[in-house]
This record gives sequence, C-alpha cells and structure tokens, in this order.
Amino acid sequence: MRNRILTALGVAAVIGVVLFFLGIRMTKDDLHISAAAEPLFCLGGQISGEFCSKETVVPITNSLLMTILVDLALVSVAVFVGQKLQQVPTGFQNVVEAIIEFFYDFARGVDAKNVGKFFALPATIFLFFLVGNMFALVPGMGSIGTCRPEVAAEGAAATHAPAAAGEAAAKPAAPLLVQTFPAYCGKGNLFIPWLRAPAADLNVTFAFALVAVFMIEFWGFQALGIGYLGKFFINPFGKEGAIMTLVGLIEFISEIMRIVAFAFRIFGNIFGGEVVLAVMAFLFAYLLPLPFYGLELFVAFIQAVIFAVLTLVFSALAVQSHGGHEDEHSHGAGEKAAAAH
Amino acid sequence: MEKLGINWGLLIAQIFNVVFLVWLLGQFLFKPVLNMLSERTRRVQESLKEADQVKQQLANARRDYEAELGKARKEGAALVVQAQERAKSQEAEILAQARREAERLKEDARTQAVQERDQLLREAKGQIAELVTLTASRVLGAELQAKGHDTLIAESLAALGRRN
Repeated sequence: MRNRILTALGVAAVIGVVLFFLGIRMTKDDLHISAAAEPLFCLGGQISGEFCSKETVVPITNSLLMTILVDLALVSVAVFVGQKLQQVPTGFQNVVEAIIEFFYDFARGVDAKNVGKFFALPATIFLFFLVGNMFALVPGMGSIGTCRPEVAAEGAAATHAPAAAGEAAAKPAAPLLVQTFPAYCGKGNLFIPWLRAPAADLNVTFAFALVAVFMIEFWGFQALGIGYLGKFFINPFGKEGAIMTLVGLIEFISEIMRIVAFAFRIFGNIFGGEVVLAVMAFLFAYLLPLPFYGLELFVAFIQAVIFAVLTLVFSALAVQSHGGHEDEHSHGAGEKAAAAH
Repeated sequence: MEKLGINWGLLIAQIFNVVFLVWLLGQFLFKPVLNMLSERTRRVQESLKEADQVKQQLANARRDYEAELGKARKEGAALVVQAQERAKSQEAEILAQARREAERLKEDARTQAVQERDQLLREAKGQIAELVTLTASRVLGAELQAKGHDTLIAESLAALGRRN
C-alpha cells in the first residue's frame, strides 16, 4: 500500500515536472493577491479593476457571495435538521448533533452556570467560520472567476505595472500552451475569483469581532451592573494600590483592542493560508501545495475553534465578579495579621 | 481602509448578518438540538434505571422461586418421610391387629372346640348314664326273667351307635 502511494506520488511528480517545463504553469500575472475582497459588481457605482468607484453604496464582493452561501448552508441545516429532529438519530443528524454536543460540552466546561446564555454566539461563530473556511478550501472556490482589465489608477497598481513589465522584458520566454487555457487572463488583466473565504474579508471578521466584543461587554454589565467598570477603573488610593489602577487601565485598553485582535487573527490566518496556497501553486503547481493544503484544513478548523473559544472564555471572565479576587486579598491580609500577632 | 477592503456598507450588512445568524441558529438549531440531546439523555437514563429495576425484579423473582422450590422440595421430602413412617407404623399396627385377630380366632376356635368337647362329653356322659341306667335296668329286668345279657348289651350298643 505504501509502495503504491509512493509510486503514484513519483509518477505525479514526473508528470508535473514535464508539464512544468512544457510551460503549463502559473505565471506571475495570474498570481493575484488582494487583501481586500474583490467586488463582483458595485451597487450604485462603477466597477473598475478590483475596486469600486467612490459613489458605491455596497460593493457585492466575492466574500459577500460566500457569506450568503454559508448562511444558506447553516440555515438549511437549521431548517432540515433542527426542525425535524428524530428521537433516534440517523445520517446527517448525527453529524450535526455531534458537532453541537462537542462544542456544548466544551462550553459547559468553561462556564457551566451561564452556558445557556452564552452558547448561541460562540457556537454560531464556530459553525460559521468552520463551514466558511472549509468551503473556501474546496477546489475551484478561489480559482474559478472572471478576468477584468487591470486599472493602473492607484499608487500600488502603478508601481506594480512597470515592475511586471520589466520582468516580462527580462524574461521574454512566454509560455507556449498557457494562452489557450480558459482560466488564463493574460497580461494586464486581473483574475477575480467568484468566491472567497468569508474569513479572508475584514468586513466579515470585524462584524463578528464587533458583535462578540459587544456581547461580552453587555453580559459583563448585565451580570455585575455598573460594578463591571470597577474591573477597569480602580481607585489608586484604595486598598488595591496604584499599580492595580494601571493594570486596570491596561485591561480596559486590551478590552477594546480585542475587536482588532479578533478580527485580524482569523483574517490573517485564513488570508495568509490562501496566499501560501497561491504562492505554492505559482512555484510548482504539482504536488507542492499538497502538504500546505493539509495544513490549511487544520488551520481552517483551529481558527474557527479559537475565535469561538476566546469569545466564550472572555464572556465567562466578564460575568465573573471582581469580588472573589478581593476576598482572596482580604483573606491574605488577615493571615498576615494573624502571623504578626 | 480601501486597501484592506473595509467598506461601511458591507460592514453594517455583515453585522446584521451575524446578529441574524446568531438569533436564527440559536432559536432553530441549537435550542432544539440541545433539548433533544438532554431529552435523549433523560430517556436513556430512565430506561437504564428501568432495566436495572427489571433485572432486580427478575433476580428477586428467581430468588423467591428458588426459595419456594427449595421449601416445596423440603416439604415434599418431609411429607414422604412422614408418609413412610406412617405407613410403617400402620403396617406394624395392621400386622399386630392381624396377629391379634388370628390369636383371637385361634382362641375362639380353641374355646369353641373345648366347649364342644365338653358339651359332647357332657352329653355323652348323660347318655352313657342313661344307657347305663337303661342297660342296668334292662339287665336287672332280664336277670330277673332270664339270662339274656348278651342280646341286651348288643341292643344297647346298637342304640348307642344309632344315636351317635
């Protein structure tokens, strides 16, 4: 079995090398990386290259399309599984129940008391990013799209164009077969994929991060009332001391920075993964992306878990009263006093 | 912002999407699934408990049944022993009775025989006496008449033989 796998890999590698030198490969023009989700069309504006014009209200981007697809998938699960639950589970219901129960047990381990209140948000984050990231790894998701003429209007594009031209001048050996491929856009054209991972769009990740942090703070205020602010603004002349005042302020800043951290963590991982896959495909499209593909599958899962679990843990921390900490302090002081006597 | 693709319209749309999705999944997926899971857990626990109870009951029933069986067997054995004893005692009794009966019958027979013999003897004595007197009277009469003793004795003896 192992021999057979190795043989298959070897044959694939040989075929790959032959095809590579025949010129069937990605060119630098095809290697298009954009941190922003590319618009497919612009509502109320004109599309130009990979940007919408200024008066655009909402650009319909490829990641928005993907978001809608993921929403549809999740909603159809809710409708076709959630509303037709069987006492004796069969088929897909098993999968759905297993995923939800896995996460519910974990959430109960984090905060057993408030799990009912918290559960929907982290679970939705988990499911949305899990499904979205996995969908984005389906072959064709980032590689099927349209070609659009590049617009050398903005600064970055302008600097890019002469560099590409210089490269082309230095290496005039144009690939022979590539032009006939339908996916080849050619020089001066942009390749715009129709679908893009939702987590590779900052609008999506910021939306999730804003809602998550808002809910964390909301639950904090709900549980502790105005006393929740006591976690961050500590009286410098109180018994906790001036250092704790500083720590509280830093905590307050970190609380706000969580939005950015949440948004950029998953964006960076998923977008970075896409870039890695694209670059590997550009370097040598045969076999080389394979290990990275496996890695991306893992990252797709783990980033969804991280976002969800951090939301859960921060929520659990937010509803925890500051009082326990104080109690500990006074207890320690009492012990010290007892020792002194 | 432009380079990162952040667009206020899109961001607000996505926030709405998140809120909507959280509400919808929470209401129509997580809640029913978790309810179903806890319901199933409850039912499984219940049926396990019931199965335990049934097993317990079965064990109890078997224990009772075996106890009953043992008791019955013991009782049966006791009954048999009792019956055997009774039979033995009855046998002895019957035997004793039979022996007694036989004894009594023998005794009866003997007394009867003795009585009969006595009676016979008595009767015989009477007759003999009668005969003797008859004979004596006859002898005395004949002596008086003639010497016909021999015929007289023969007649008496014949009469005796007829009577017997």
